[in-house]
Amino acid sequence: MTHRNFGLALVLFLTIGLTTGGLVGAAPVDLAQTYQNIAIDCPGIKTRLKQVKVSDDLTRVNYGQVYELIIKDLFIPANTRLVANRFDAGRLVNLTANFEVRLNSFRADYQKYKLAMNAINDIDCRTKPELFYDKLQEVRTSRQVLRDHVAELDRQTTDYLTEFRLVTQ
Amino acid sequence: MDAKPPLEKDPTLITNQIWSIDGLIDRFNLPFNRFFVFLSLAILLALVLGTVSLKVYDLSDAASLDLSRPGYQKVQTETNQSQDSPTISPVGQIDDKFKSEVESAAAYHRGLVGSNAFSDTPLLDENLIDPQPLSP
Repeated sequence: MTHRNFGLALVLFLTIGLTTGGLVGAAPVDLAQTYQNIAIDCPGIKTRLKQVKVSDDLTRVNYGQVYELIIKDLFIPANTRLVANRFDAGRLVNLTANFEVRLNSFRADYQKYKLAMNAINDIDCRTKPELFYDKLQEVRTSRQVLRDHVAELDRQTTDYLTEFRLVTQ
Repeated sequence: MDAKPPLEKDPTLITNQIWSIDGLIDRFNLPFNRFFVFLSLAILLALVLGTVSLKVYDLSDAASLDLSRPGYQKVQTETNQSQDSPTISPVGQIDDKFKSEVESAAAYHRGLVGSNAFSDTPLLDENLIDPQPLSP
């Protein structure tokens, strides 16, 4: 009985200790400090954001071109040739269509990201650091969506190649 | 002396000339001369073509880069030049050469797009919101 109580106490102690320790160790973000940093370094933050925007625009144009080339110069002619030679390219055609749909989503979501970036650039972060930080969270979320699109398009290209090997083996 | 009746315009002639500048002037009783109508049509056509071009430019998001600006010369050199892009012929046999072409074209294109695009690193607090101004 004593051992059982001791065991329960130990479990309770460890649970409370770990939970509390975890909370303390997590070091909650000091938003007030962040707001203050934003207000102080507002011009620097704006400059860094503009650099990110230029870099992103370049990435968008380059990636968009490559994805279009993948469809135009790779998927479509390969599908056409397979069908002309009476291979079953149905799934490859579906994968191409999915790729195109995903590319359109990427384009549309980049527009949203761009608008969010423009909106955050219009905020006076010296006087409204809270609003600026809120909008920054929105920009981060939009950017995450773009990252997901890029990863998905890469995965779909892999799927296409895998299916291509299956069809032509 | 016999007075001649005033000349009337032949309506069929006007209909036939509807797509000429004179036909347009006659048809709609435009109070302009030929040169003015010609100039207006040329401007209208230029506006339509310009709008279409701008739309295409904007859809590709190249507008946000504005590659025509001198300050973006560095960016111009960084944009992909797709002239050397490998292409697959839509006609021909399904042989090892074709399979190899598809594989190499896919590898080429995938090499141009990295997997770390739009990473969260540049927008992290420690990278964007510089804590240095507050440090003692």
